[in-house]
Amino acid sequence: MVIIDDSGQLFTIEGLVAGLIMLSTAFIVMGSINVYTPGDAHITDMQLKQLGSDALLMLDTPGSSGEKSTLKELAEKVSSGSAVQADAARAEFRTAFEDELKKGTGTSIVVDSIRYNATVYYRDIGTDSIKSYPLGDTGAEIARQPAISTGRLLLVDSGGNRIFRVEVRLWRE
Amino acid sequence: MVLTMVPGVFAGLESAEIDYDAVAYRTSVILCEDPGWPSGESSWESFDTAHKDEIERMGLTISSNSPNILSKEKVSHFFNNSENLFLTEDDYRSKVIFGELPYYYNISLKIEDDPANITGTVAPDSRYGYMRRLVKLKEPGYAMINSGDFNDTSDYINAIDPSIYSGFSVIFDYGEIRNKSIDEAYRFMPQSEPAAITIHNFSNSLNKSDVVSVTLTKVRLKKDGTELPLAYGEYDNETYRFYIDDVLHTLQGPVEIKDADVLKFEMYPPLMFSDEIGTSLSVVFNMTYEYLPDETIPHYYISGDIPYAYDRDYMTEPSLRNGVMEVMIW
Repeated sequence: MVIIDDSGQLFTIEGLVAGLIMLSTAFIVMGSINVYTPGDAHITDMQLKQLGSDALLMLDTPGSSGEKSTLKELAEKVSSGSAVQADAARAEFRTAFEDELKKGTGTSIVVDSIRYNATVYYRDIGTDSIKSYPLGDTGAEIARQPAISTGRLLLVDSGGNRIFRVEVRLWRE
Repeated sequence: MVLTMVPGVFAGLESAEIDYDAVAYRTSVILCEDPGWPSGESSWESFDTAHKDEIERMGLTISSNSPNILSKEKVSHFFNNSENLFLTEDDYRSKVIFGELPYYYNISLKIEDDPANITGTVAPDSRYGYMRRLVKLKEPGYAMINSGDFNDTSDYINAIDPSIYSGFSVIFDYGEIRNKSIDEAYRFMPQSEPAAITIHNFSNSLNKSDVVSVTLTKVRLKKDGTELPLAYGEYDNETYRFYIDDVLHTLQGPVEIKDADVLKFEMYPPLMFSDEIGTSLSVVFNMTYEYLPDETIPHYYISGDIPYAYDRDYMTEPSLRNGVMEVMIW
């Protein structure tokens, strides 16, 4: 159908108005709906790091005033020069640290999937060199698991203040 | 005009992303690393239900310098274990979880072998934000006084009035108690922690065959040596409680305590005048002992001025217990 004379204008206007109505309907509908989507889960790294640094903080907080923290006792044993003492320190650290990692309130199931590798670094007074001593690990190699690292500095008073650094790498299996 | 509206249509399609893990993390940080607000002189846990709107944030640590060290008072109030403060789900959402959405939550805290404190609803099997934090709970200190260690004897008894009037005081010297050189984790904090005085082994410390009666005439509170004008005959359970062998009493005697074993006086935070460093508060137990009028044997009674302070055999200083907190948000 070909429309001649003035009535063609009317059809054009009607078409535009219809388009506008459709657009504004879509606009209003879309604007009034929020679609919530759960975020990405890269945050597990952060959970692991927090748990690791919490565990080190707990091991460095003695139960009562005047006591030495577990970590400081271990640091002294490691730097004592005695292999037996250092070995005992390693066993103690493993028990204490793994004990912290598996704690739960009972409201959720704590899956025992955390693996770690811990080392203590310090300056050896005799040789005046930086030494390290492995404080323990869960046995498995790191392989390609992405691990996070956390650590804690200790000021140990054993005939003069010395700084120790306990470094832990954690990953999930 | 149409062209300007078109991008707006697609803007509306942007999803509002909610990150449950981030909310769980934030909540755990507020709980485990923050003392809450208000904090200090009148801390949030001292508010009752009628004033809970004034609570802005419910953090559980003893101070802002002691992350992961939780206050027993705050924990008790947070998990609705106190008589004064009742918290609803909305309170948890607006004072600790925050955020515009009404999240579901489950917050739990377990201290060593104690039963777990839990608030919130049971979490779904998956798709919730999660955070686990390792913490320590600070147990407040207290005095445990063995009467036998404070026995005194009197060799002289007047046969006409065979009595001894004795005062037994426990002194809170706030300057000494709030010793800033001691780490807050192990410091007596009279502004935010309760204090308890237990006098035990009382009856056994006396030579009972010699004693006719022991009367606790009254208990008085003194500030710098001056008696406080309080209603001693009435119960003031929010400020202090006084038990004789586990039975609640007012501070107004007389009470016969010859056969009593344990006198216990508890004070609740903030302790009276604890914000005024340099003042001291004494709890004075006034007792009258009546003996057989025998002038040949020594007569036992307890007396003394006992400081509530550090490094004393009868004091148990604040200590820390291991715990773990789990926060779930969905």
